Amino acid sequence: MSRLDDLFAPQPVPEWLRFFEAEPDRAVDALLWRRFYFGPLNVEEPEELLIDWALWMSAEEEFLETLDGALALWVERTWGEHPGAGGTGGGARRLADAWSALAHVVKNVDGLPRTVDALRRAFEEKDEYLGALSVGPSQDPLGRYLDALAAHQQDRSLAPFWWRLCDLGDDTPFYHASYAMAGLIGLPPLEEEAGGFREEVARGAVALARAFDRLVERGVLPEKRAEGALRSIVRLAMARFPFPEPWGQVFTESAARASERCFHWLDKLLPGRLEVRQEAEAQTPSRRFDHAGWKARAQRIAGELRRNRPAALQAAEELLAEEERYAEISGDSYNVVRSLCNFASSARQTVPRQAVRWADTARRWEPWNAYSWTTLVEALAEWRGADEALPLAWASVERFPEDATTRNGLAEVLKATDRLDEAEQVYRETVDRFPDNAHARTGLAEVLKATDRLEEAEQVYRKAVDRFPDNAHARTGLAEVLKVMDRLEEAEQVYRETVDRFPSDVVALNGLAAVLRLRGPAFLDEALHLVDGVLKKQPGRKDSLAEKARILERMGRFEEAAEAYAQGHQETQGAETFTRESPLRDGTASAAQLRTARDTGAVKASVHAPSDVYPLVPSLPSEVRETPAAYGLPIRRNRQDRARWSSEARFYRRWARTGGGTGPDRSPEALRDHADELLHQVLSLWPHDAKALAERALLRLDAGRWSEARNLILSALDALPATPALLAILARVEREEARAEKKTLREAQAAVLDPSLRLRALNPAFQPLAHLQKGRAFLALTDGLDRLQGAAKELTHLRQWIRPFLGRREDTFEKWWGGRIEDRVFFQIGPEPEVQPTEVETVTAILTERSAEIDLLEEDFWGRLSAGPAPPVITL
Amino acid sequence: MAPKTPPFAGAGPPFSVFLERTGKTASLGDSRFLARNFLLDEGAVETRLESYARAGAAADHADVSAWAGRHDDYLKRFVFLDQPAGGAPETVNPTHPSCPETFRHPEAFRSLGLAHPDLDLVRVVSVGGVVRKLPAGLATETELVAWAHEALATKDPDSAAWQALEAALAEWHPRLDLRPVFAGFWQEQKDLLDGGPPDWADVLRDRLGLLHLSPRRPGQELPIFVFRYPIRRIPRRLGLRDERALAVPTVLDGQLSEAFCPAPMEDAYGRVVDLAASYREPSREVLHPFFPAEVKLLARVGVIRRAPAKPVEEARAAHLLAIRVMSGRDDYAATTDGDLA
Repeated sequence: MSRLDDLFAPQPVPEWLRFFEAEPDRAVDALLWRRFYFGPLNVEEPEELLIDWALWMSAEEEFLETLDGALALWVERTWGEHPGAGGTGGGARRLADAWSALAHVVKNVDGLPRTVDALRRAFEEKDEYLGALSVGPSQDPLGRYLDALAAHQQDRSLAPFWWRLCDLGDDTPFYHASYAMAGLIGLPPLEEEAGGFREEVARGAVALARAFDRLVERGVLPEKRAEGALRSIVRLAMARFPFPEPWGQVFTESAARASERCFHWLDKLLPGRLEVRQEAEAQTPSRRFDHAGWKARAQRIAGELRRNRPAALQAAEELLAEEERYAEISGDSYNVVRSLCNFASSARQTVPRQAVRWADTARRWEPWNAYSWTTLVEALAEWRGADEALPLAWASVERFPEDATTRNGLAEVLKATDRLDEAEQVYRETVDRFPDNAHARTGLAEVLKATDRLEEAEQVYRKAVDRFPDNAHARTGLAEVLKVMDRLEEAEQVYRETVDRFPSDVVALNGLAAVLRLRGPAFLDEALHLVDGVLKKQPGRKDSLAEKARILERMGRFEEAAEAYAQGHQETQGAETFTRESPLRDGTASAAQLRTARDTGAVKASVHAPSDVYPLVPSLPSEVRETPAAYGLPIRRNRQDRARWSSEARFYRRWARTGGGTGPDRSPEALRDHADELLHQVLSLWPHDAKALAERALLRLDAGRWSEARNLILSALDALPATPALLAILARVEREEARAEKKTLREAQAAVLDPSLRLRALNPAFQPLAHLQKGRAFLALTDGLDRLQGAAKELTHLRQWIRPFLGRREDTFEKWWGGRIEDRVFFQIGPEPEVQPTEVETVTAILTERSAEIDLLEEDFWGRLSAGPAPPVITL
Repeated sequence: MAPKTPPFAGAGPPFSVFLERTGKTASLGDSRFLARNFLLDEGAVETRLESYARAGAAADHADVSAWAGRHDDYLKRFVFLDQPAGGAPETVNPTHPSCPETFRHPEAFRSLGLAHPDLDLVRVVSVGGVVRKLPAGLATETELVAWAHEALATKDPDSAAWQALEAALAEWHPRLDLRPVFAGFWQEQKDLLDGGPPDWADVLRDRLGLLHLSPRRPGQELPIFVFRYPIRRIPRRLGLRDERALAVPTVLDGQLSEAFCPAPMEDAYGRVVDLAASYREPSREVLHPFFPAEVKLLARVGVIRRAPAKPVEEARAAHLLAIRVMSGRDDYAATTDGDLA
C-alpha cells in the first residue's frame, strides 16, 4: 500500500497518479499535452484534476516537490518550442493549451517555487513566444502566464510592469486589464498597507479607467464594452478590499483630473462618494502630478551631472527613489521618467553606463514614450558605441513611425557607424514624411557633407535656411559647408548673419571664430575676442577652449595654447568616455610639442577635419567599427542582432520600393537581395522568427511571387497564429492575387476578407487597418455595384475613425496616421466622412497610383500596434 | 422509415476497424463505450466526418489515449473555437470563422430550430471552474457561493453581492471558448430545482449525466450554479428571425465521454444517460451556442457531495432499455451493446 492508497481509500487511486508516482516527468508531459485519457474521471480540462489533487495533497511535501520538479523541467524543455512539439503533431492551439494548462496549475497551486522561478526567468521573452500563440481571451497563454506570475510574487520587482500593463498600451490587448489588477493585488503589500486597504490597488483601478477611456477615445472599444470591462475588474477588487471610504478618497483625488467619461465611470462604481469636481479641473484632464520641488531638484541635479560633480549621482538616486516609490503606489510615472531621462541625457558623456541604466529604467516605465527610447539610444551609443545602439534605434523607428525624432536618432547612429548611404535614405524619408522637421534636413545635409557631396549639402542647407529662417543650426551648418569648401568669405558672411540673428548662439560664435582664424592673421584678434566672450559666460566650455587654443597656436602663443588645451581636458577629467580631441590636443601636450606639430604640418592637416559631424555619438576607432552584416559581419547570436537584421531587411525592402539609391549595389534588386540575405541569416538561426518570416513574405510579394508568399505566410501562421503582421500580409497577398487574376466577389470574398476579420478578432485596435485593407480588397475585385458598395462602406468606416483625431491638439500616432491617409487618399473627394459609391472610382485611382505608399502606411500601423513590450537592451 | 446507417459505422477502414475493435474490447471497461457511441451515432453529417478525418482523428489509433488526443485536436480546430476579443457572436452565422461546426449545417437544427421560445433550459456550472479561471486574487470559491446565495435571497441587482457575482461572471466569460453548451429542460428537472430533496444537486448531476461533476477524492464537495433561461435568450440563426440555434448532440460536439450515448434519429432531442440507472425516461438535452450567463439567470446554488451510485455500465444498460422502449426500435444498439444485459 502506497501513501496514495491510504489517501484515496476506499476509492481506487486514479491511474494517472500511479503513472505520476512511477514517472513524474512523463506523466506531467502526457497531462499537459493531453495525451492521457482519464477515463471515468471524464474531465474537460485535465489540469483541473491536477489542481484538485495538488490542493488536496498540499500537506504531502513529497508530492508537491515532485510535481514542482516535473513542471519546472517541462517549462525548461518546452520554452521556445513551436507547434509540433510534444510528439503530438498538434498545431499552435495544442501548444497554446499546454502552456495555458501549465500556467493554470501554477497559478492555482502554492508550493511550486521552482516552476515559478523557471517561468519568471523567461519573462523577457514572454511576449515574443507566448504572445504569438495568444489569439484572444479564450486562447491566451500569455494572459495565463501573467496570471500565474501575479499569483506568486515574492517581491515588488514587477510593480513597474503591472503599472505599465494598467496603461493598456498599443501592445497590450484590453482583456489583459484584469491581469494588471491581479498583478497589483499580488504584489507584497507595502509595510503600512499590510492587511488593510491597498491604495495602489485603488489607484490601479483609476489607471485602468483612464486606459479604457483612451481606448474608447481611439475607437478601439465601444464605450459600453469598455465600461463593462472596467466595472467587472474594479467591482471584484472593491469586494476584495471592502473599504469604501478610502476607495472614495482615491477616486475623488484622481478623478478630479480625469476626463468626463472617466469621472462618470468612477462615480457609478462608488455612487454618491465622489465629490463634485471643479470645472477648471475637469477641463484639463491629465494624469500628471507635479510634486512640489521635484522638478527644480531634478534640474539642479542634471546640471551637476553635466559638470560631473560626484555628489550628483547620490542626489540623483535619492530623488529617483522618492519618485519611483510615488510611481509604484500611484502608477503615475511622469515624474520619475522625466527625471530618469533628464539625468540620462545629462550624464551620458560623464557616466554613460549609469545613463544607460537610467534611460532603460525610463523606457521600462513608459515604453510608449518615444523620448525614453531616443534617450536610451543616445546613452547606449555613448557608452557602448553607435553600433550597439543600432538595434534599438531600428526598433524605435518601427515602434514610433509618427515620431521624427526617433528617425533622426536612427540616422545619427547610422552616420556614426559610417553607413552614410543608409543614413541619407533615412533622412530623405524623414524629410518626405515630416516636411516641417528642420533636423531631418540639416541631418541630410550633414550626411552629404560627410560623403564629400558638398554642393548637394550646400543646396539642402540653403533650402533649410529658406524654410526655417529661425533655425540657427541650419545656418551654422551652411556656414560649415562653405568653410569646408574653402569659401571662407561666404562662410564668414553666413556666420555673421547668424550671430546677428542669434547673438548668444555659441556654435555660431565659435564657428565664426574658426572661420576668422582660417582667413588669416588679420582676423585672429577678432576671433580671439569672440571665443573669450563665450568663455567669459561659460568658462569651462570645451569647444570654445579648444578653439581658443587653436587661435592662440595660430598666433604663436604656444604657452597659452597649451594651457587652454589642458584646461579643456581638465573639464572632462574623470569622465568615462575618451575625449575626442587628438592626442596632441588631449591637454597633455607641451607648448614645445605644439610648436613642433605646427612645423611638421600635423595641426594644419587636421584643420578641416569635420570635428562636429557626429554630434550625437563619439567616433569609434576604426578597428572596432562593425561592417554591415552582408559584408562579413561575424554572427553574434543574440536577440539584438536578430531584431536588427530583420529591421534592416525591412529598411532595405522599403528602400527598394521607393526605387533604391544610386549605384549598382543600391538598385532595387540589389537592395532586395541584401534584405533576403539578412533574413536568411535570421531564419537559419531562428526559423520561427515572426518578423523575419513576415519580411520574407513581403519580399516575395514585392517580387510578384504571390503563391510563394502565401505558402510562407500560411505556414508561419500555423506556428504563430496571433501575429498581426502575418494576417495583414495575408490580406495583402490575397488582394493582390485577386486583382491580378481579376476575381469576383463570389470567388474571392472569403480569402480576401477573412484575414482582416481575423486581425480584428485578435485585437479590436486593428479595426482601422482592417477597414483600409477590406476597402482595398473590394476595389481589387471585378464586380460592379457590390464592389463599389463594399469599398464605400469600409472606407467610410475608416474615415469615421480618422475624423476625431484630426482636430486634436496632442500629437498621437492616430492623428499622424489618420492625417496621412486623409491627405494621401481622400484629398480629391468631399470632406464628409461618408464615401459615396460614386466617389469610389476616384479613390480607386488614387489608391492604385499610390499603392506603394499606402502599403507602407499599412505596415506602419501593424508595426506600431504589434511592437510588443520592449525587452531590456542590455544587462547591467 | 428505415433507420439511417450511422455514418461512422459505414465510414470504412481504418477508423471503423478501430471502432469495432475498441468497442468489443472488454478489458477497456467503460472506455469501450466511446467507440460504441461513434458506431451508433446517426446524427453526424457527412461533412463533419470529413473534418474529423482532416484532423487525423478518423484513424486506426494505437489506443484510446491516442484517439482522445486526436479527437481533442478535431474539437479545437472545428468546434471549440476561440472567442474573439470583441466577444461571442450574437447571431449564428455559418460562414463566420467563429461558428462551431456543430452549428454550420442546417441539418443540425432540423428538429429543434423552431422550439418554443418560452421553454426554459437549465445549465449546470461548477463554481470551482469559474473561480479558477478568474484572474488571481480577485475572488474565492467561498465568496462566489456566498454572493450567489445572497443574490438569490435578496433578488436585488443593486446589492453588493449581486454586483460582485455579476462581475465575476463577466470576468469568467471571455476566458471561455465557443464550445457548444449542453443544456437540459427546466420542466423535466423542476421537481428538483423548485424545492427538491436535500441531495437535489447529486440527483440533478445524475439525471443530466454530468459525470465530470463527481468528487474525485474522498470528502470532496463541488459547489454548482444552476442557470435557467428561456430558449428565446439563445442566439438566433443569421437571417432567420424565429429560429434559435438548438441542435441535438452528437459524438462530435464534445469530448469523448463514457457517460454519453447518442439518441436515435427519431428522437427530436438528445437523451442523457442517467448515472443513477433509474430506468425513468432519460432527460432531454440540447446544444446551443455559447452566450454569457448573468446573475438574473441564476436559479439555484448547490453542492455535489457524492459520486454516482451506479457504475456507468449499469447506467448505460438502463438507458438503452429506455431508449428502445421509447423509440420502438427494439434493436437499437443491439450490435454494439449486446453484451449489456
